[in-house]
Amino acid sequence: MGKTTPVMSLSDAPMWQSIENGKLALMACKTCGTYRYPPSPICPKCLSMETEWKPIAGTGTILSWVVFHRKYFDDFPPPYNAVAVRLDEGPIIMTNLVGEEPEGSWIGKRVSLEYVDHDGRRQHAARIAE
Amino acid sequence: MRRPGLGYIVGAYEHPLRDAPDRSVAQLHAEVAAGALADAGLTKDDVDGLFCGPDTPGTGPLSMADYMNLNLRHVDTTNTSGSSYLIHVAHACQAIAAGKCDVALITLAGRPRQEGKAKGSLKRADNPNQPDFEFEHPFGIQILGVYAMVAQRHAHLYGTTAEQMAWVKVAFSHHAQHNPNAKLRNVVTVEDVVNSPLVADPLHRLDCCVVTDGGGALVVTREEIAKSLDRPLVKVIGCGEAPYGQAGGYAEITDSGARRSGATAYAQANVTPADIRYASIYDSFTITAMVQLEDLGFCEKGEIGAFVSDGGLISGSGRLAVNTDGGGLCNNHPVNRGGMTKALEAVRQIRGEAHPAVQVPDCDLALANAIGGQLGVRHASSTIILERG
Repeated sequence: MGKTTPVMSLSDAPMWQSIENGKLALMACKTCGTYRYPPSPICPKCLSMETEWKPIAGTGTILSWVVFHRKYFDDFPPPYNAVAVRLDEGPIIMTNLVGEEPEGSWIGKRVSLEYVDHDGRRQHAARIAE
Repeated sequence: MRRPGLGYIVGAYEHPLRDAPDRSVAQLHAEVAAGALADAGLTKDDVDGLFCGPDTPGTGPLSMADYMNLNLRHVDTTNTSGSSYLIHVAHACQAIAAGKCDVALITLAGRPRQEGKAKGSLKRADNPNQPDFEFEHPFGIQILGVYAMVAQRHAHLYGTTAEQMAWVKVAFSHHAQHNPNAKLRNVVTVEDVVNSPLVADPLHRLDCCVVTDGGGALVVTREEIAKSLDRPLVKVIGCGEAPYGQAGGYAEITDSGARRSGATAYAQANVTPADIRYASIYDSFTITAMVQLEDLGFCEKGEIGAFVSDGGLISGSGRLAVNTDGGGLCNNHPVNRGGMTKALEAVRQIRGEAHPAVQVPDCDLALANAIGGQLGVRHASSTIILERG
């Protein structure tokens, strides 16, 4: 067992800094404008290396979800969930749903991102939008 | 009109153990290597090509080549996780055709049960320095969580039910009862699966594969040598390999690389899915096998729920005989990697050496497919098509 442990590498630090600041930024290609996630050194659409970190609106739609019923990490006592969210900017991100959980399928529900303290670090989470 | 053999699988061996507390990883590799060579009727001195993955102890192939005192002129350590070993079959055929080796040995072995990986409690095995790790791991996402998300979305898009998924396990348990080495030999029902504890909703405990020690090995050679040996001829006639990733966060998570690896293999073999008499399909979870089966064209996308229902994968009575050894769900899953065991049962079926209760009559054409990595995020699919020579 053990806790989840973020690893900070050069190309990811700006994203975690944006989370600290409460406004998630993703890599976007300066040549073709495509947002991408996870961060990567090259645009998967046009292979441009010209990249900027752009804040996102923080809104999206749940693409899929899971509820874990077993303990895998000391900082995630079961049951806990994870969701894949299709951001309005395009890419899918993985996060956790906080607040009220929908009845039935979660897929297609609109969410907005917020920022939560998780075991001493700040990370993003999704909440069902009104 | 089928194409000529790309190579011939002349040796195949599956380690009988599922728990190996008293053997080292190197010993397991040596045992499966010796077993496959004995099965072929060859010796270590015939081997001039070694193909292995990162489960091999030491630096790439060097330690095992040294321990076994092999005189090699070709090595290949292609690693696409569990699909590596079917890619090794393809690469062995290519190396043989190019004159780089004559007898290729492929091994897989390990002992995850002894190393604490049997309880799912270790952190995921991915290298924390891989670029995508920290964008899933901090949210508590475990390997099976991604598969659960694929299953949830498959259910959402196509109406696939937990009961339909359960039929995959039910079919393989019917096969496993005849396999004396299988980790789980008990026949289960749909009710048993859906009433087993939820692990990662919608995956129940019985939707998940076993964790076992052990391994397996294959020997691939050229036609002249194969025909000089006293074994039924198993001809490789088509191969495909296809990585599938997130494409920057835009890929469909219920699709897999099997569509492309399958199409490549079918084209090379000049056969269609309808021609296939037996299929070995990687089954880390029930949903894993279902996605591959539809992406390999055994049914339309989204219709796999109906295809597997009512014993659809049971040999003899179903629509397609799949994983007649019991698969990863019941038989074994050495090193948490699937490709090797998939090839082994396909070879048995082509040779007519599967258990009589599950042997496909006159099985002249078989397919094996594996996924390495994880569906939904990043994986590689590999396909081989085998014909009786």
